[in-house]
Amino acid sequence: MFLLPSLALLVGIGLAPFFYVLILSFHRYRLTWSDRPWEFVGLDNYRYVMNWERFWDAAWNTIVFAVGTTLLSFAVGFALALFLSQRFRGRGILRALVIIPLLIPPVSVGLMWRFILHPLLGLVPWIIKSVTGVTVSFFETPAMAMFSLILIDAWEWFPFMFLVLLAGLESLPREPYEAAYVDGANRYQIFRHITLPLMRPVIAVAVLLKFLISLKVYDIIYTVTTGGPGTATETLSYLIYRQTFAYFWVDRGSAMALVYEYLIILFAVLFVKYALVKARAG
Amino acid sequence: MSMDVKRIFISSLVYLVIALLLMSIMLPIVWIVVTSFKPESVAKIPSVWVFEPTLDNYRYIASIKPIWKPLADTLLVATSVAILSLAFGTPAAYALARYEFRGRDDLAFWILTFWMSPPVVFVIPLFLMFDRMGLLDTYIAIVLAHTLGNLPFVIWLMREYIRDVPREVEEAALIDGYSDAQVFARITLPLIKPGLVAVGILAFIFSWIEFLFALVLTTFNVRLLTVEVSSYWTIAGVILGPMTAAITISIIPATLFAFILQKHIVRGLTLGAVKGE
Repeated sequence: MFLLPSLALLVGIGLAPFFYVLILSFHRYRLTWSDRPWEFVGLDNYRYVMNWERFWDAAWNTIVFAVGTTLLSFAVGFALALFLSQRFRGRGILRALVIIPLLIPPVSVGLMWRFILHPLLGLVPWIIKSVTGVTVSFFETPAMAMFSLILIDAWEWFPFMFLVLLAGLESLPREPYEAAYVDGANRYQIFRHITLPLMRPVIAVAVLLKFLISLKVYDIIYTVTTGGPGTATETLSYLIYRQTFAYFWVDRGSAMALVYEYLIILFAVLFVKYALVKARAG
Repeated sequence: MSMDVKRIFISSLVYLVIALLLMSIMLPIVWIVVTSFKPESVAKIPSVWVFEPTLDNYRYIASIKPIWKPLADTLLVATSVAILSLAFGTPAAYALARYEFRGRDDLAFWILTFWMSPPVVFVIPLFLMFDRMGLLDTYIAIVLAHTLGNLPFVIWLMREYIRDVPREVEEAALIDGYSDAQVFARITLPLIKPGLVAVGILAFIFSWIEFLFALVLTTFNVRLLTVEVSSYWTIAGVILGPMTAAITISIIPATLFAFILQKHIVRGLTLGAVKGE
């Protein structure tokens, strides 16, 4: 009885749309054909998508992006979590400051960084140039554009890693640490042989969640590079959005969206089944 | 080098790196806020650090390209979303936390798959369906879409908070003759108030910062802040000074809530995957 309102909502505007896309993906339909009926074409859209190089390029870009930002935000987040789990004055203020990027609209984050990394208007290229004399172009080459996007996203999301890992650090048991002190272990040994093994399940959860979130990236692609240069930073969400709402191929967009969805869910299920269970056990 | 000197050297190095890291983290925000007070003549010159502050950019977003409508709409939508998400999500969370029934964990995982799904999967059919119903560009459409986006994490989080309530308290009330609904409303709800506030604020923020649904489901009748902000820099060019002012406005809730929520937010953003203290 308590579940009914939520389930009604999830089914009504969550599951029903899902089946709507599913059915649509077997038909030929353009967004501009409002008065024409859907024409059944079977698996045509899927065949098209599977043989479409741009779709696989976008999938590859999405994965490169997700791996990059997950690793970078993990490194920064973990370092800060280790630092801010110590007790000292002003810790609360630092903790609050550090989580701000996560609560800012990603659109604002994107524009903010597009401005700050801009070759002429930007603060960062200017600083680099005055200090080293080198001119850096953050969005010119495909590799640099992808690197810049990863940097921007990691800036936005390291607080997430920070929060999960901090929660993990604070829930660790005290006894192993006391025993290690008595045995005269140094800080590195304590970190390597006590903190890391105990933190493994938490790290696995943090990395999984961030990876799943990164696969959905859209806002900063839209505001920073619009997929460019060329299609070098086009991710799946962005490609599907463009196909559907800029080129009106809503049928193909639906097919792509579903393939995308299945890949993500498949990955999540496999990860939860194997990696998490293993991390918890080991 | 003696051990002590070496240790002091290493730890000051670590602190230096951390300090640099913290500075570079805050720098972009500071720079945007600083730029928003720059006069137009120097806004595009990164080497200018000293200048006479002006409110010109804020005047621009107050009158020339007014931000009031997007601001008011976003406040209205985000508040409605926060209330609706809690109203729908909390009872569901209660059922998932307290009742034993077949397939309960599968149901919880199924709910979570909505959170894993890319929003683009839902935005296509919701656009078509709302279009058919004549609901495009209405508050109802965007509020429903955002509530759907928030429900999975609201349910998962509230479930964690409810699990922390000792069962004995509820059982005692049942013995006193309370019905299930009364126990939920009069015993459990007051006990999880801090959770409701924290999760409510998170739901508010997620609606405030959401972009894709806002971009596709709203246009003129409803105008949201993220769409407004994104309109300052398009292929047509950039309106730089006012853009930094608009970004500054869009950051305000983040700054406020970061300080309020610093403690509670941990679970909020982790779907309760890790139990804090």
